[in-house]
Amino acid sequence: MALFSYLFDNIPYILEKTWEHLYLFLISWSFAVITGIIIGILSSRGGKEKIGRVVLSITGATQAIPSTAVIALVFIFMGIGALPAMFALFIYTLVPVTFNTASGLINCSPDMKEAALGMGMTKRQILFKVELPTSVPAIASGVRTAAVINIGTAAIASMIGAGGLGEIIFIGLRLMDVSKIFAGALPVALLAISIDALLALAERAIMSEGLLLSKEN
Amino acid sequence: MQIRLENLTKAYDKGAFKAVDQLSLTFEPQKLTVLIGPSGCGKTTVLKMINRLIERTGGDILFDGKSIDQIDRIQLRRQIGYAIQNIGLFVHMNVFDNIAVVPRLLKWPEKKIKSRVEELLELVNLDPYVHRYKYPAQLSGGQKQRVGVARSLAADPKVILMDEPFGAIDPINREKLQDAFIDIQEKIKKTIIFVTHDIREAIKLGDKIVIMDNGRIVQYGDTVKVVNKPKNAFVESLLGSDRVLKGLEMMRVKDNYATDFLSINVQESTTVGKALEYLENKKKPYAYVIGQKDVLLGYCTLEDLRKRNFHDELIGQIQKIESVQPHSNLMEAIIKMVESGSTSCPVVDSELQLLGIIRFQTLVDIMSTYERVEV
Repeated sequence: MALFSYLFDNIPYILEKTWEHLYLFLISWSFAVITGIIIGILSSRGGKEKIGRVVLSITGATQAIPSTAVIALVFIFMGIGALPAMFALFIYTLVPVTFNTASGLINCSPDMKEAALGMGMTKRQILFKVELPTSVPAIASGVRTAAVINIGTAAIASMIGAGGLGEIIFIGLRLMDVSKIFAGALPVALLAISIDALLALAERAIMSEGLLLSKEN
Repeated sequence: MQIRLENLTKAYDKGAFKAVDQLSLTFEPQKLTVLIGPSGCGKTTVLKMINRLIERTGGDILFDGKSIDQIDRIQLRRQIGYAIQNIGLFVHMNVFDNIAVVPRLLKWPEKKIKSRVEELLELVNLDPYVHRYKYPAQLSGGQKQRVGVARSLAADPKVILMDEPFGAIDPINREKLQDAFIDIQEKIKKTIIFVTHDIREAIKLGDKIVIMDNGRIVQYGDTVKVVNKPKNAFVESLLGSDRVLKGLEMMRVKDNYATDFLSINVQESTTVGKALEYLENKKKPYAYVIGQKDVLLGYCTLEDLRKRNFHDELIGQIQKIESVQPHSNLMEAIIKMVESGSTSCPVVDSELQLLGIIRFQTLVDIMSTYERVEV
């Protein structure tokens, strides 16, 4: 029971840190999702396929940079606190959303696009009625990956004074206090799992049954 | 709607290559015109210039005399049906929503769209109640293609462009779709421009046929005339050495059957002896046997009846026979004759009522009218 002792003795404190953590996540992730989808759409428009491919390779490569490095770099330029942390999280989260949106749109079936164009849809109608709806699985998986990465990375963002559950983990590490480390790590894991589950539900609600069926085939 | 191409040209690489070269042609309203030629002959380019998926570089396209430049590109496409080889059904939409796309773009009231979709599904032989809420992933290839055809007809366009719409279907289902499509066109009478590289399909479906090579027209005319009288060796080789047989495929039984057949109306009391007497009087070797409401039951031959007991009921001695229907083509009639080892084939309607007879000699006479190109 020693493992849980710190957790049970400090519930209000842990809830406060969880709330901070959620706050870091929600702000940076929401902005990243909106920005990422917009960049993804822009870089996949007709005639800009080349730009799209470049965006895809840059964002793909960025995913290989360790999150600690991104946070460290932001710290150098922006200092400490919640805002720089959120900015670092934003940048890091942008990557999977942009990557998946652009690749989902670029890989939309050319037959469907030709049929849509030939039937007299405008470019905008093709985007909203055909390309985006058929890209829901790709975009949703980017958004979910982004959420999980964001929540995990937010724990590291405590290094630059952002608050959140990472604080408890780092204190625990310094004191070699397993119970403290656990009290920080468990809520982070639960947070990530529950947000991912919520997003999975949202994905099912948005996604057409037809896509689900065509994926099974 | 009349569509006229005037010196239509599509040049690439600053005129170095002309996919379509000064092509002039008038598509007849309410007819199905097939564009055919070897790959790279420019047939698909012509098709796609008509709905401006490809922009022309010279000449003009006139819709009832109005230049294509005076018509808004988006509006134009909504008024022209379009069906492509890979169909391009929207996988995230059910059958109903797929067909309703153009009517919704044109802002039809939902009630009108609903009845239109049901009407179209029935037209392409899909039960609306079974299929309208299915997704493309739940349909077979042939069913998808039918939905594709229904979708291209959705907003009742006067013109329909079809780019090898049956190209990706297996041969057996392709035949079925083609037959169904012939019946559909008979009902709707649209101006259809149909691209294919399958000469059999071209002959079977086309009222008119445009043979293209290197971006130019080699021969344009009624399909029958083109098949009968190829202009040059290129056309003849495209039609193939069996063009005579292919020609039979485009001719319908209904235009070629005779009604001077011999038939016996059988009742329960009709005996073999009575039938024999009848055949001997008429000096004919066989007769078709029909029952109530002129329904064809089979046939009986003099030779066979002579071996039977005079007092037997004729009804037990009838031999089965294959038949064709008026919309069948002459090739099917030949196949039926070969299968049954006979030199004629009865023609019946959908209720199996005997209408007439198609004779081998008639087919031979038709085939002998075909001309050969002197090389």
